[in-house]
Amino acid sequence: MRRRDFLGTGSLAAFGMVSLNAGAFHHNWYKDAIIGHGSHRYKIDLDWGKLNSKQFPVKDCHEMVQDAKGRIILLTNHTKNNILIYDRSGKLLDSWGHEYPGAHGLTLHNENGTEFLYICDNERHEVIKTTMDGKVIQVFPYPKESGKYQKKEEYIPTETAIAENGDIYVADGYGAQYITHYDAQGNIKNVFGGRGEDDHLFNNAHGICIDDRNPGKPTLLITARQQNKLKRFALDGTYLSTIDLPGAYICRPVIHNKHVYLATIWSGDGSEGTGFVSILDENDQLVSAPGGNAPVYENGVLQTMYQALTIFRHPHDVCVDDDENIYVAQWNSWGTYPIKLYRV
Amino acid sequence: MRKAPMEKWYRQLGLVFLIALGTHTVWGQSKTPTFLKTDEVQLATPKIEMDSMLFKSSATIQMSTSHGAEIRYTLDGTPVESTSLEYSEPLTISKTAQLRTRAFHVDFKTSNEQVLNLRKIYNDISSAEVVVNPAPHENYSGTGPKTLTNGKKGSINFRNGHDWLGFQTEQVEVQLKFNHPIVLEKVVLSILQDQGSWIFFPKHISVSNAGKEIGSKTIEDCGVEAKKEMDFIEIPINNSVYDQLKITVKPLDQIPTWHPGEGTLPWFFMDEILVE
Repeated sequence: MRRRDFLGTGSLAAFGMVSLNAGAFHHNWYKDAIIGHGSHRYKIDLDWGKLNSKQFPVKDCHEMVQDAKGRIILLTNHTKNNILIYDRSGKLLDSWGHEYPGAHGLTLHNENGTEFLYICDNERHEVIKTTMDGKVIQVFPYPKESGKYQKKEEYIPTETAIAENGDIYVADGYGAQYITHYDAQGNIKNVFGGRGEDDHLFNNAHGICIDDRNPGKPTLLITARQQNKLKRFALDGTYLSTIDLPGAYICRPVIHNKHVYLATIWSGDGSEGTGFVSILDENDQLVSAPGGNAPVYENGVLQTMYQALTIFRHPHDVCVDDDENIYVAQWNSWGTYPIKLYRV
Repeated sequence: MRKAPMEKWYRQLGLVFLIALGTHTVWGQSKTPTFLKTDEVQLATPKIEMDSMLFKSSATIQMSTSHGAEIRYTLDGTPVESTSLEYSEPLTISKTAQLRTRAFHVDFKTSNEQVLNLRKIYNDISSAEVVVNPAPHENYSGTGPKTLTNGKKGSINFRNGHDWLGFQTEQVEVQLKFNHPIVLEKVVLSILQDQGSWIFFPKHISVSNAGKEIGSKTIEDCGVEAKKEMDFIEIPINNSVYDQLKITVKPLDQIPTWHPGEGTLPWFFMDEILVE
């Protein structure tokens, strides 16, 4: 039985039992909070993945991915354990990594049956390719030969995306806002983007992914977080279109089946302590915003989104597992571990 | 959002019950999730949209919330209670007021209170001569010194538009020379706090005329961790007729120790000066 099917049964069983002496408890103690909208609604487990913070501390929980074994891999910028590997129930399986003080972006790529991780390090100003157990395979230093950078400090990569042919795209989200496109060997093929307000430019090109939902016609989705926009580019760097998500400061797009999931680090006017999760359908419409208000379109235009419930504090990434449950990693949230959302 | 011990204990009992039912095999995991309950979740403050916090005749305010919550508010500076006015349609404000709002819901915890100061411009000083010393940072120089008297409020996202003057200096002096004398008892500074962007409210503001101090204000808690907000700081001055004023703003000497910018000079942002 799939997990989400079971949950329904489980909560019914729990309800039945408790109703025997419900009078002793708060009137709605059994009412699980449900967030999100339409077909994408979730129950919340705040305790998922909670560990002894002395032994396995986290600073910012920056990004998460699921590997082929179904394990959930978390990247944090705490150098005691940059990588924490969990099972889906939140049990710690493994940890490694001490040399990524600016650990920020985590992308998993399956290269002919072997999985590798790509870590963007803000402080080291480089991208590091590792095996699943942390052995360094390749380091991509700042792309001096692109001619866009004089020194490494100008380059603060935040995310990578790996195409089917092994090409690597690096988004310089906290640096000069260029997207550097490498071949699988690490030779620069192209540079595009850069800082600015025009369609093909970025203000905080924070996240990037390959959108492979349209068979044979992959494109790039790149966030312009400060602009509350998700921009689509051809793999050769040609600007194609923009999805406006006013009030949603989106971090990186994550494709799962037909939907795009995005952690939204701030919301509304960008205030402290805000944020939610954004879910777009195959027509680029925001269909659910767990923690946010119900999306409203007027004449095809999304009205400014805002936080509705104070569950999240600066979500920085989402990972969607095989059961369609979501793990939410949060930035600047007092060293708390990720939150798990169970789809209902 | 911590659970009450009673509930926690009870859920563990629930777990035992589930295992007893023999359903534990489908979990296939070592931990059982404990779901957050509605009464452990707090509503966010209502979303507020308005044409401007600063207005010449009136301002229109629209509020919204989600999950079937209701919005209640006051305009007289009193705290919002479950019996305060319920919001149903856009509000029109025609005088300086403090709007306080909270969201209420039968299942979720009531939101925090959101306080918003709305200010009417009583004296148009857009023709006054303005000198700002030192000049603001080149990235945050608005449309020049007159940004401070143009009656236009900046957005809380200070990087948008050209309405804010930003400084990272130990002192900022603004000299205003009116084109006719005005009877005044108050100077109001419209300022920004965005500590995440290293922007703090200033420590001290003084107002002088002809070399003599006529009023001052100290903001004691400007170094305390606080949320991003815009505010109007009132500095009472000796009630008299003035044709010019000098306003001296002193930010904190350094960013306090709790902040990542500890020890460095904070930023100070202002978008408007009003006289009343």
